[in-house]
Amino acid sequence: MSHFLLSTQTLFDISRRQNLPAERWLEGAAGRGIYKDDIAVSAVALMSIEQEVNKRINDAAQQTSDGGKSRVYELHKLLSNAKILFKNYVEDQRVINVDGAICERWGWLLETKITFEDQDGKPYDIGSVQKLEIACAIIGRNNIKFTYVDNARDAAGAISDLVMERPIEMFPDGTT
Amino acid sequence: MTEFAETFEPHIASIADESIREDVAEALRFIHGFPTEVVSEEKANKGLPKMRKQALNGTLSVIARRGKISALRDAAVLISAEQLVNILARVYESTERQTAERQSPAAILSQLEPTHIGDSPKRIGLRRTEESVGGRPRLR
Repeated sequence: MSHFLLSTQTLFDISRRQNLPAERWLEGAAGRGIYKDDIAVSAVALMSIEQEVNKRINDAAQQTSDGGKSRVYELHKLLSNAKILFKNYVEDQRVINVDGAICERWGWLLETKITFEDQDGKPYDIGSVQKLEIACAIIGRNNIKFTYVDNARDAAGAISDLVMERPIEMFPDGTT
Repeated sequence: MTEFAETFEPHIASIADESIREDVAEALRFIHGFPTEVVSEEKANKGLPKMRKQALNGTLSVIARRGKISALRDAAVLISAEQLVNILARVYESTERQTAERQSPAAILSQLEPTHIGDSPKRIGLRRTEESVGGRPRLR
């Protein structure tokens, strides 16, 4: 049985509740024999989403148009969704906290330049928060590693011991 | 070389308590991938350093009288802590309590409200927040 760690981006996409590939991946999980207790998130996920959404809310609030107000409203809904989702993982003890082994792996990752490709094939260097998530996935819990669920691709194969699953590949737009 | 479960399965019948016997049999069904070597007491006495090294490299040793398990009470297992934790984790995953709690991960979606947010930017700004290279070497 595989265990899965949802990236912050995946959690964000699910929170949007717009039938994106991440949401369809979650919907299709039970059909593949993946259940609630097989899926975890990292402890930094909600903080990262809050930071991002609050920034977008501040940007949208600068706009005086109705479009700006509407966007602020929708972003608040998204944040509320993310909190409900995260709370669900907390209640089931499916949040991976950072321990010594994860920190040690994170330290090695921090010293390495790692370039991923996003879902549109655009390269980007991953930052320390995502490296921490990846360290959580590699170290896992109870000696069971996680498959890291994210739409990005480790195109250069820089992290040889990271197993990834890409919702966008499995459930591309336009499919159910 | 055999597998841990394969080594002990024939001896489950000797467990007197029926409920324990069934639990052990069920647990063994989920324990795979643990290479196991059955050695005699004599060999174990002489080759403990080698067995310890094997255990740390992932091969369990079962010490049995005359190198054959005739009864469970005649067998002892030499195992690394890492292997032990792996075995416990696999058994835990397969317990009735755990499987009874298995729920669809998508059930939570019904509590989330659809949003109408534009598609840009698709990725959140984790990548923009700070450096990618040079953590520890820069520390002073």
